[in-house]
Amino acid sequence: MSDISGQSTRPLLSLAEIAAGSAIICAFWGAGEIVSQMTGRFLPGPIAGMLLLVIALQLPFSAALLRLIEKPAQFLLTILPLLLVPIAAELLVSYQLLADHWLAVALALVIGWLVSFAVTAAVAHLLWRGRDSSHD
Amino acid sequence: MIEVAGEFLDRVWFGLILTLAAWVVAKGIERLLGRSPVANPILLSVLLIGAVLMSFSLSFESYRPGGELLTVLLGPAVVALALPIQRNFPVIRAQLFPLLTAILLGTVGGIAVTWVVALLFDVPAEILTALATKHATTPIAVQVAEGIGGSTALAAATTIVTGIIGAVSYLMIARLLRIKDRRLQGLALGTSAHVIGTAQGITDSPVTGAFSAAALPIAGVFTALLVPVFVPLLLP
Repeated sequence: MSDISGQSTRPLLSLAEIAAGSAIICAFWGAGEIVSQMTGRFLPGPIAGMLLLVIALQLPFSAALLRLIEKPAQFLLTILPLLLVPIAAELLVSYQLLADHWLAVALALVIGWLVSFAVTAAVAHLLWRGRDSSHD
Repeated sequence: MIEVAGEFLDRVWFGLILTLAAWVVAKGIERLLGRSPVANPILLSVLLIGAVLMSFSLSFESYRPGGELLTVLLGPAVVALALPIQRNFPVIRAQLFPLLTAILLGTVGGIAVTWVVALLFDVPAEILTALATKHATTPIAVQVAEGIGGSTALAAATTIVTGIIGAVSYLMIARLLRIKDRRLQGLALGTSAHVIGTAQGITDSPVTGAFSAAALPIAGVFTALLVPVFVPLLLP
């Protein structure tokens, strides 16, 4: 089997495998939506689906599952920032809600974010046992 | 059925092209500015979309259908965050207690300080409620705001701005605070700046992305548990 570049090394995933991987990801999304509804929308469906997939990947058959979802998942992660643009673009309309108090809101948001970031990193740094340095 | 679909499809192309074109231009600007943190592609894309809509006097409604088409894909894309988590699962499982504690304190600390600043400026209660939910990812923030009788539009707006602040500035702040470990950077990013921060983290490094993705739902759960209990008690 040869790919577009004409190399005939290891065969790429077939279209059927990519379709199967995409279907599996969507199935976990669907399962997440069901779990979300059953638990009174405590977590959004996609996040519940992500947690279910993490759990499934710890089960015995997970090597095959991982191989199937890897390519489509990697593609979805690559386009994730682009997918957030329309949600962020809602600010073009909703910024007016904050306009009257923009300085207070801006300061509160920036300082609040900074504290949240710094506290999380500092506490994890203090409590993390046997930390080795990360090399990548 | 076919006619309804046709009507929808007629309106989808514009927002779709505008988003994709804005992204291409935004990435070009990001490269020109030498990957300066201010040149965040999500932020730049939003500004470009706004500029185009304004200069042709188009309403946001003409953009929205195409945007919603992309938002649908956010469902499977969030599920796909399981992949980087899986690759770092042994570390996450071994350090679960420190990670949970750090995320809890980071969430509480962030909300508390946000409120103190906002109270100093005497902002109305409606905005205070929206500020309490902002570290959680947008769907959680909106649900929590709804649950405590706050404005969902305000909650969504403060959440998005928080995500952009985190995505734009986390590398700079990490350098300033000498946080070199990408796992710590990711953990703090996912806790403080939800999925918008996580998207930036994944672009920067798989390890940052993995720890950010792992922190994301946990911070969301803490927000969903704590805010409905404490906000009604603390509202002035």
